[in-house]
Amino acid sequence: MDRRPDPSRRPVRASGPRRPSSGDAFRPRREPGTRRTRGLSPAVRTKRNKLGLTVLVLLLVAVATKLVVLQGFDGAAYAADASDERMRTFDIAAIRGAVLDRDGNPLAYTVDASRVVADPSIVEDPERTALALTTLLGVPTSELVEKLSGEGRYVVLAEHVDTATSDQVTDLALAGIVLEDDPVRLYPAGAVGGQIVGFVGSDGDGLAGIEQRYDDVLSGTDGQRRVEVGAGGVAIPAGIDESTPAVDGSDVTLTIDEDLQYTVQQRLDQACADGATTQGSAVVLDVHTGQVAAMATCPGYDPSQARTTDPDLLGLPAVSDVFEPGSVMKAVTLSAAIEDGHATPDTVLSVPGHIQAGDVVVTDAHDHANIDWTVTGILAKSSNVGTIMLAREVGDARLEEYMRAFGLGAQTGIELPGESAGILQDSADWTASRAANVPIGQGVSVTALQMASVYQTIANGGVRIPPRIVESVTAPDGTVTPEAQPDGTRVISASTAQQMAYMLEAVVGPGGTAPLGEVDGFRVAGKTGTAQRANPECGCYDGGGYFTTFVGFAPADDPQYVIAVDLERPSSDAEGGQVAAPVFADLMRYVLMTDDVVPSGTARPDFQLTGTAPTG
Amino acid sequence: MSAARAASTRSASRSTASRSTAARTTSARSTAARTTSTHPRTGTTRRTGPVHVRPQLRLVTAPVGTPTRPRRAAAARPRRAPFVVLLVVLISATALGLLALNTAIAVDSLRASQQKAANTELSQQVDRLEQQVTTARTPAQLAADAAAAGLVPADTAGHLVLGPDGTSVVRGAPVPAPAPEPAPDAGAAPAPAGG
Repeated sequence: MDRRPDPSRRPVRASGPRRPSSGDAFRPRREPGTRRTRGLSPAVRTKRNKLGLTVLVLLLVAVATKLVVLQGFDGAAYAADASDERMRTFDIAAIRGAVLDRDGNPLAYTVDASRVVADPSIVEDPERTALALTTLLGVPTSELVEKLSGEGRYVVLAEHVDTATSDQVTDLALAGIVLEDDPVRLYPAGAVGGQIVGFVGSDGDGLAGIEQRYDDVLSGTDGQRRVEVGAGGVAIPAGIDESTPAVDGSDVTLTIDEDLQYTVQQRLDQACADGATTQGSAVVLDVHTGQVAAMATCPGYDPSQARTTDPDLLGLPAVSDVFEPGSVMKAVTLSAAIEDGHATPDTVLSVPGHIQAGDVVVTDAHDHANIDWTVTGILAKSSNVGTIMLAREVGDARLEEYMRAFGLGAQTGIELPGESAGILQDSADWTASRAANVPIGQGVSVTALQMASVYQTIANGGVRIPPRIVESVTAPDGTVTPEAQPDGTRVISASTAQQMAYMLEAVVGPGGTAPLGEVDGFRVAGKTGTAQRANPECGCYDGGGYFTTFVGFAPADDPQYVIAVDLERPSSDAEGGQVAAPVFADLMRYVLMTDDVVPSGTARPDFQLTGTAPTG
Repeated sequence: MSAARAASTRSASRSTASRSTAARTTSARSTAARTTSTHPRTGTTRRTGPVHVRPQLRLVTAPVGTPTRPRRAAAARPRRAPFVVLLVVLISATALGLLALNTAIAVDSLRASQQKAANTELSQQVDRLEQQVTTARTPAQLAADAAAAGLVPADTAGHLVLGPDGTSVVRGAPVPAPAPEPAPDAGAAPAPAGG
């Protein structure tokens, strides 16, 4: 035990100053073969052994602990860090689907574009870089220099830069200038259909119209590509490459006809420019399907300029704004009277010039002595008193039932955000004056779309088909999913509808209120409306001006299209037959011509507007 | 004594130089003589320390012929060489193959990225062209171009309907279109249809 050399003592001896080297390095410390006679005492040696052992054990424990910590606890994190060092993740942006008209013309689509971004801490020479970029990006040099020499590591120099320009930027190979994906949404038709299509925000989310309602369908799902990269940031060919492909958005095909939509918008813009019209809406429905062929409101807006447009204009008032329809509502009242057997088109009533209803007196447009009008005459002359007389025969509750069956007071369910249901009170709550006002379209509010739908019902033989504007959704793989088209519901009998069409034709005939609604060569049925507009300043009708409306369909003997026009004219007392009917006629002429509708060639019947009231 | 034998055996086994063996044999002989002469003195001296016994050398004959061990090694050498060569060739081939494969992959990757860039460029070009077509096909643009070309919007159409007996009737109320403005201004807004 004693003779065994102690390894712990050896370094102490060798480096210890107690035994300085005697000069001869090769001379042994003692004679070979001699026993060690001097040395540490056993007590000291044990103490040193223990100390050394303790130090060694402590070191070992420290190393072992660190190892366990590294491998056991932090191991996953370090492994992740290591993999992060060599893995790069690239987003693959899903291309937002397009919004198409019914012929496939794009109303909204997305193209590749780039965002030019700078890292000012890497940019070497802000002035030179700015000079190189200023003409390409169309940004003033001073602005670029300011951005490039600023603090921070991320500054956007330009957005929505087209691919041709971004390629040139890449060719410049400027230090610290990076391109990011920034797809741009284009609205080639501009304001045409802009209110229907809507627009997207800066983050690409739909904020209005179809863009909002169909955001989930259009936006698709972004993909991701994770690749292992080498030192230069270039993907290693045989390295890890985990890609989740982007799922592009689906295309939404509307029932809108772009050309018709353009014509409607043009005509409305013209109407809005007459100085008295502050707002005007028009809705064109296909009679047989209830689909919206065009729908617009003036003033419209261009979705690509949405950010700089007055927010009040960023809607579709034809769907979201309500107005009191006035006399166009009489078609509903008379339908109810005929359907319930209270009248026929030839029933003659002795109509006074005014009628007492509760605390108010309702008069015709011009007070007159008793006239013996047929029901056709009441409609053609738009007699308030005659309509109220018929409505009283129908009864309030029954009238309300018919109005609701025609879709009033409820959303049509069209695929657009912000649709208004209109206002229709329960008949139980009607006062006597309200009961006299509702049948003639006052005290009840509708949207232009609802009004068009009412006349679609009459034109379609009494079957109401709720209006729809989305035809189908086309997935990126080409699968076309038609949108569910609602079933029609019968509101009035075919015979009643036919009698209504007959009577409505008298409106545009001789003696009617809207000869300007005529379309040469075609038989047109329709109804004017001139409703008092509530003055927002006093909450009364005084000085509020009028809503002038015209709703009709053609050809009367084989209806194809329904058009509803309403113009808000706060400062004018012109009637619907003078203002709205010409707009209707122009639009109807265009849509019949472009759809190749052939006139039947039959003549308009001779209408009996007056008759002899049965005595007693 | 044992040490002397060991030394002699060692010198004997060194077959490399027989001339050194001869030289050592002479010196061993003289050493042996010297040992014999000092022996009496040693015998009388009192032993106080370790006795350094000189190895007692004697002459041995060198073994005849080549030793067996080297012969065996020499015999194995010709069998091992092809194996080593094979290994070297395999390793070199693998290294060269890897090099070639890596080069091929790198070249392909370069080509792939070039093709990809070209592909992107072309698809961007297609997009740009399609965008031009789309922009040119919008109703507003068409109407402006038509007005610039001196066209006017149609009013009402007339329909010539043929009867079963071959006769025809004109339906509708066709009206000749108004003459276009003498000097159509390309920038002017198009007249709306039927306006």
